[in-house]
Amino acid sequence: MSGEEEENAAELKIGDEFLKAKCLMNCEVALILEHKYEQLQQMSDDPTNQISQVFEKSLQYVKRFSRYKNPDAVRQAREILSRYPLAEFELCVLGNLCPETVEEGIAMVPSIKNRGRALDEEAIEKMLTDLSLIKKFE
Amino acid sequence: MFFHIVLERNMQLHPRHFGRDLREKLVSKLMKDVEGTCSGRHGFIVAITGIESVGKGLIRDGTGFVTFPVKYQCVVFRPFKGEILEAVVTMVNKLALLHLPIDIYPCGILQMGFFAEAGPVQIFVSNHLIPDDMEFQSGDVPNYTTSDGSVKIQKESEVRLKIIGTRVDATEIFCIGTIKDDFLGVISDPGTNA
Amino acid sequence: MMSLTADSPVHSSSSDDFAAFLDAELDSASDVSPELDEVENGEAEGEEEVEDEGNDTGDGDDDDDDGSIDSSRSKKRKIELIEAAVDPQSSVSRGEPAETSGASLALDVCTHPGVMGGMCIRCGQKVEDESGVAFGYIHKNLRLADDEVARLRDKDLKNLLRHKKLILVLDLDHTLLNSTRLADISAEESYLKDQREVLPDALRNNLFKLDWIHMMTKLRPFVHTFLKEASSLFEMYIYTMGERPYALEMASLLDPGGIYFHSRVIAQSDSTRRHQKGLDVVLGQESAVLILDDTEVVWGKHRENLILMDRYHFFTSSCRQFGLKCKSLTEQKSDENEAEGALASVLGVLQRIHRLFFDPERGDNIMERDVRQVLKTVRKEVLKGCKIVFTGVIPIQCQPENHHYWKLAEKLGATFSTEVDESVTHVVSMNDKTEKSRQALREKKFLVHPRWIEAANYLWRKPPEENFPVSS
Repeated sequence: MSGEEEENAAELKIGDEFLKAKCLMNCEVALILEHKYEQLQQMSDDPTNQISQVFEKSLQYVKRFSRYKNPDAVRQAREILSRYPLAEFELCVLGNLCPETVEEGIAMVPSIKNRGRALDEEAIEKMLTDLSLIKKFE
Repeated sequence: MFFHIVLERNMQLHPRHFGRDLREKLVSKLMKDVEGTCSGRHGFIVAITGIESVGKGLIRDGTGFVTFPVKYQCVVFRPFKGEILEAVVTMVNKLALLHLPIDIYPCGILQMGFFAEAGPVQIFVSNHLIPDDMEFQSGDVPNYTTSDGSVKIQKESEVRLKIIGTRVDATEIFCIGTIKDDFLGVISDPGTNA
Repeated sequence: MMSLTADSPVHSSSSDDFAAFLDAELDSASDVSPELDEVENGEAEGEEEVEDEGNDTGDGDDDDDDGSIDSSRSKKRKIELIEAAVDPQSSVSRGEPAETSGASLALDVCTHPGVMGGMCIRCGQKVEDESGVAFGYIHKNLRLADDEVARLRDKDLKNLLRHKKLILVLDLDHTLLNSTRLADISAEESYLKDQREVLPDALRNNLFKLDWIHMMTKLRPFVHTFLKEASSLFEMYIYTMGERPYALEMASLLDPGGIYFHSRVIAQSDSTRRHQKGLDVVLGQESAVLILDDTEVVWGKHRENLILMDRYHFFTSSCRQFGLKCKSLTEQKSDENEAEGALASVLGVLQRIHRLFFDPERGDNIMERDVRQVLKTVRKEVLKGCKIVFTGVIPIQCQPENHHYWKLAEKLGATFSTEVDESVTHVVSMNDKTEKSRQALREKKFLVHPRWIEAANYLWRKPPEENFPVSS
């Protein structure tokens, strides 16, 4: 599983280390990075001096591609997705892309279908509906 | 994908820095040393979020420096082959143009494909991997457009793409991506999303 | 290296103190944000579930693989191959060990049309092959295979012709602008640096002191109008023998809005042959390309595409570099005429060529048209109707029709005679004492210096003959 040629996120082949690691949705990363940016701001007048280009680009990126902006909604999204038997990686892809239909969900995260899990189409549909409801009440 | 992981690094510090603020010194040096770097294994280290532990210091022979093994939590960004993510269509050849003001970077839409950016990661989508019904249009604002004009990809467009190849070197991660599959492609174009 | 605690008892007590101090320091504050805490807590349950799931399926996969004996593996592979032939995507998207070989066989079907950053631009596979042509100006690590270049050119041509455009490749130095090193600015032209505020607008707005590359650059008069007008008829490239940073800096002076050139800026390092420029790195069909350059020799293979430009020498160092004895424009405090300069006249030529190329009256297939033929035709109009006799120009041992001036005049549409008869219009001479020169004066023919032909070549019209007198 370590060889790079075998890497394939569509089948959750992302290496043991990452498979077991905590994944973060873009909206969670946005909260973390914004918090850190504020901390830096308090410590120095010019926080741009302290942050790397990678930090800045990542912050811009996650702000642009966050489906949920306020911490409550972010927490809810993870809570809902955590009710289902998903790998961390799958959970975050779903939280990032918010597919609207079962078909789209499976196209975005093919591994949820392939692995013969207790996750039938009905369950997927319920999960996506629940997710979409958070958005509406935000 | 972003991950929150624990990494370890041996930090070297000269005893002249020892004092009440030792920890602060170690953390700020750690931030300087690792934030923004990238490796094939972990991708980009975006931000350190906390310190797990600092091990016992070891004196290095001859130098007087003390090495501390530091375990720290951090956010990393690492794209995977087969991963689907969202990205912004961007400019081309940025590194060659760092001294130029941002508004004159050439647009990343080319006849042979387009460049996109997901945070610090650069992605190229060649025209082999753009749906066949999208044609390149040159002009002041080069773009890819469907024959009926309903879908357009241009600078600043947001696209959903799938990574099919990744390459990591010391300072950057570069990917080959595709939008030629179901549910991939434009999610918003700057023209309509104003 | 040695450990304080284990190997150095003398210091042990102090190191213990030190360890305690560190512990206290590190426990005193947590760097983790409250948000992150929440995130982590929320995650904990999910993670456990995942671990179970992950292990279950992992085992399942392993069982599959372990169970498959060699024969079933090869069978599997065969099926993979058949699938691959039908739909390469399907086998690519799998990736169990047994199928990897199938997948890689399927990927081999990809001809790797191009490589960027060491990966195929179509299948994403790592490719170490260094064949094909490098297009470093598009991306630092891009190479394209020959048939991919051909495919892109063909696509590009259709796209261009649909938009009624051709391709124009522009040289920088002496064609669109003139640059000098700051160190080479002469005392006589130092007013450009020192009295910038009092320079006339037309000069000041087109004169740039570029400290970071130690250069001063003057844009050629009319260049802004030229680029604006030409951009509606042509897709434009910059192609310079200068280095990349210089090329990009010049591109930003010429095209501050970034609308003319985009990524089409080609520098010396992008050429495939040393000291030569080549259309092999231009992603356009040669039959649709025109080139403006003041230097002919660098375009060895593409002279038929070339429109030679009269050199723009603004700075003294530029004149000196080309061995010109005359005073530079800076020393004369003068400049090329905006309305009648080289760029204005060549714009007229480009417009005419474009009009003829896209002439709706033409009956032929537009894809088969060749701008080089149109260029030839338009050039032949320049000295049309002129019948020339050379005297004292072509050395006796030289075949007249191989001589530079003969060939040039022929390209410009002139015809020739050896005797000054009734039909002759011009006698071209270096010396007004020759028999034929005197005959020309007697019979009221134009007697002109050979430079008249060169001037016609740059001006794209018959130059006033009185400006090219012949002295003894």
